[in-house]
Amino acid sequence: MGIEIGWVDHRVAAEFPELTLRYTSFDGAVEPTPADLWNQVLDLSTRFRGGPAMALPSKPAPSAYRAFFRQVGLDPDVVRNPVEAIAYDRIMRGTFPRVHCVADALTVAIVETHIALSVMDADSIAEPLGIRLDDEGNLVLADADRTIGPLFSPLPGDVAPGLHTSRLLVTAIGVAGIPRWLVDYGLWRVADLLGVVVDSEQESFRGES
Amino acid sequence: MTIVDTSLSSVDLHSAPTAAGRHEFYAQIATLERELSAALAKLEPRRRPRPSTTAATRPHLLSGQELESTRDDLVARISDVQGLVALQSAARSGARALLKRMTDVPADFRWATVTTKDLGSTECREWQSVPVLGPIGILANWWRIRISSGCP
Repeated sequence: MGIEIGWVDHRVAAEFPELTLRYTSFDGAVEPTPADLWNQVLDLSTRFRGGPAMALPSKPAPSAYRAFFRQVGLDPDVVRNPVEAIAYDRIMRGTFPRVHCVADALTVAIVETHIALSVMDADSIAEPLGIRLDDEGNLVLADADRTIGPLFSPLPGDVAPGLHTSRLLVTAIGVAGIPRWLVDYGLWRVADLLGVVVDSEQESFRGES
Repeated sequence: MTIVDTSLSSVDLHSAPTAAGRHEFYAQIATLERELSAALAKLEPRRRPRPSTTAATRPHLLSGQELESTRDDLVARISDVQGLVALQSAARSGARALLKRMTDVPADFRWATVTTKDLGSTECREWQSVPVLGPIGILANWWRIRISSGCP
């Protein structure tokens, strides 16, 4: 298990040279959240209140995502980057919801690292993953066979981890202003929370469409 | 405020701008977004303006015209937010001045209240000019400042 580098379409790379997609896959199932992970979620919920949440836009990684969102036509106060979306949800609900081990590990990793992470069912994806433009000029996440969905949007149901998932694929998107090590740390953190050790990147997976 | 050179607006943006021109727009937009975030951070949540409702919901490559419009919109929003920050500053100064006058002469500010929120603090406390001994204080014009005990 290692961190792999997703391809970026040359037209997108020409516009955003620092846009990166990195991902890793490992065995894992959707199970109830174990007590130690849930305790970490609760601890974060206690510490992550209004003050820290309101200060997020001026932190380095969320600030970098906000700038990128503006550059691709999104208003970051309407379409929120993952950590700000979690913060908003936390404030509205008053706590983090208990979902399952994969979703809760993702929440902890995003809140800790501020990186745009997502988890998919690896068996529903044909690697390698990449970023390209669709026919309408939208930036989308794609695998070898098809378009998965718009970048930074919620995942479609057919790739989301479910009860029959046996292998997980975690993705991280980096933009200008976010160091690569931090993007990798986000991936490593999700795996670590799920009890998996991830090696460093595998350069052989670098590619470009 | 960071000075952003907007000379690119003189370029014919209806035709596709050069790669260098687009990257210059991207840099300007990133700088302005950081400036907007910093300005918004100074504003209390209740004073923050609502986000635009016309923005796209899917990320896409912007045309030269859209890049220019995004940049100009950010410049306008920063200006608006800085105006709100100035208003907030003035309101806080006014609240501090009122608190000082209330403390000096409570009888001149009957029932007036100043809260820490008015002063821009995150604590929860309030100062109120109240009569000493209730009705007796009202009749005798004896007033004092009562300070609440803080957060519940």
